[in-house]
Amino acid sequence: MKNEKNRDSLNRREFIKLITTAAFSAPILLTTAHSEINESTRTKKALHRNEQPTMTYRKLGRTGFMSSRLVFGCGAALMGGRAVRLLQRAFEAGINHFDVGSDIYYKGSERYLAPFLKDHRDQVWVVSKAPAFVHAKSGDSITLEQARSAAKYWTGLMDASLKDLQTDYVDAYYLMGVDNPSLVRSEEVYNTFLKAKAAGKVGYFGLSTHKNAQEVLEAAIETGWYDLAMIGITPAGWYDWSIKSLVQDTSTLVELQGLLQRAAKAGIGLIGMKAVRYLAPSWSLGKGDPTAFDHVYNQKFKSASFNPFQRAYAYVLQHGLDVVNADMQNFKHLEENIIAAATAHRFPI
Amino acid sequence: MTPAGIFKRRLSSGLLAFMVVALMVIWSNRQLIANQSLPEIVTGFTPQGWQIFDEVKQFTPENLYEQINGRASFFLAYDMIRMTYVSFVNSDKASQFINLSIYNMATPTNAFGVFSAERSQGDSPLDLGRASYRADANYFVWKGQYYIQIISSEATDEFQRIGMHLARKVTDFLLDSGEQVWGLTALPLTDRMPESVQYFKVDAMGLDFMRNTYTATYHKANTLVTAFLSRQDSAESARATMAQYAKYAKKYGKGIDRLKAGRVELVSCDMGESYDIVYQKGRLIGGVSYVEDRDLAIRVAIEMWENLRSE
Repeated sequence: MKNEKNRDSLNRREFIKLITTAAFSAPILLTTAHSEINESTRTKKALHRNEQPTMTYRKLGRTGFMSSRLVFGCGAALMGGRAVRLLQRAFEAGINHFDVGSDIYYKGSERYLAPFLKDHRDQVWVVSKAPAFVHAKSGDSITLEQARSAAKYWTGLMDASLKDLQTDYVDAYYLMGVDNPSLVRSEEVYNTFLKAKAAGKVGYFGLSTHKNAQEVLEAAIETGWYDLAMIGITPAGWYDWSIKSLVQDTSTLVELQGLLQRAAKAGIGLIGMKAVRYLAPSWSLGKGDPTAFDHVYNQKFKSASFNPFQRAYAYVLQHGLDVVNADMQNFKHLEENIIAAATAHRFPI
Repeated sequence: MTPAGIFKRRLSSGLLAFMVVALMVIWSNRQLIANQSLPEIVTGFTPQGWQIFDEVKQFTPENLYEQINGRASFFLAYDMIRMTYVSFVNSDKASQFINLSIYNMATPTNAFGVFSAERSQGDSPLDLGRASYRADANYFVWKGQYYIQIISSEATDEFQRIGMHLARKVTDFLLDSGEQVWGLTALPLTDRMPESVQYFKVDAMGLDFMRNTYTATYHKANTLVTAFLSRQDSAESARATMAQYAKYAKKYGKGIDRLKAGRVELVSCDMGESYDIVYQKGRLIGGVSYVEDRDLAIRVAIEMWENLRSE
């Protein structure tokens, strides 16, 4: 369906109805969440979907999407359909942004998301992504032939994503796992996106990056082409996955505010990811040190009744990231993350 | 000695020699893999007219993330021990690639887990390994403790041909211990949909307390029903898991009922628009989930209980 309702929002009446209904079931967070929503809806172009008093929302750059501050990362969670049951609970809690990935990477996830979308397509933002595969190191300049091949491969995967999601339109599609700034600057790739957009397949252009992320984000800002950027970042700054440690001499998230503000000024909605991976045990790709970020927290964050994961999510949400994407594989994690996202604003920086 | 006796002795000597040679080959192959020389072997699989980009790489749980990013947690949840990766590029057209990944998952059960969780119904099955399929020119094979993925940049007939050839070579080389996967035989076969069994080592159905769980789809009364079965360490542990399930259903559903049908004790969980029915049998926890028709759900759960061996 390509009608405007699908792409834009619930109308105001539907929105008020949802808020009113939900208020009876979740009065505790209502006051604080409302103040956040009211503040955000002052922006003219804000587009609303499935807003509930149990969640807070933030406008994502020039897209106008009023995204829940907690994004449901469907990729790994839906492989094999494992966490399908969480989708409805997430929706009921007010999560309206679902991020998934190509079948070439997260096998089956898009297909497992499809039935949920069939019921809720007009009420959520759905974003998918695929790698624009090139054989190049992060510092290399890619050739024209490589750019053409990457663009062709990426759009082929986009078409497959639409088929697997059983939709003819996604709200945004990302270049996935980009570490090469010359790929970010590739006109071939961008023009391919524009063609897909003109064909009504996709609304906005984005990228995800967790390696060489600062250079990639700088390049994205410079081009002016990107609407959304999902960046791997922690409260303590950039994280280098190749050494499973913080990048040597990284600026902290506080020190990176200038860069994040420039991205915001360029109209880029910022989505944080991998914010807590470092804290997780080694089998979950972490360092197993839940105190790793304690040195960057102020007293208010330290004394919050959060666990280390919640604290890290709340912190990045209060330090320049519009929303945060979390890979949630069970109800326990989902509930914890909902609390962190919905109450992060209580901790001023 | 009679000619027959001489013949028998020669035959047994020949058989013995054959067995020794066979064992040496097997041992040698195991040593090759154990000595991490899979990169050398894989190098020999380079398709004609293609070359290896960069080099063959191996990843451990510590650095798998470098290669496959966030998806690594999926493989680590199944205790992956090593992944061997190589990208072949066309010597005449470097943008064309075929990427080969071989995951050593330590046991056939773990390898089946990742294979089954990634498998989609409807892809073209192949006669390779214990189970395999093709999607476009991409190949996915489960053999013993190994999970093999071949991803191609294009889906042409030529890529399919090269991919299939490569898949066969890799599959033929890797060994299969023959160790059985418990859930494949434990889940009743009657009305079970082909290739629908999946194995989740952790977080089955999004529930943090459901570990070592198999699921399968059954065709019952013109309805597709998802059944699950989990083997716990003890009956006591199974009872505790059952209690956690009931707690979950009370929190996220509309409540539970405890039912008794003959020898079978069931917990019926009203999840809103569907029902989960859960039972315990010794150290097994099983049931059906997401079934709209409560009577059907109960009937299928009882059938399954009756068809299970008590462990």
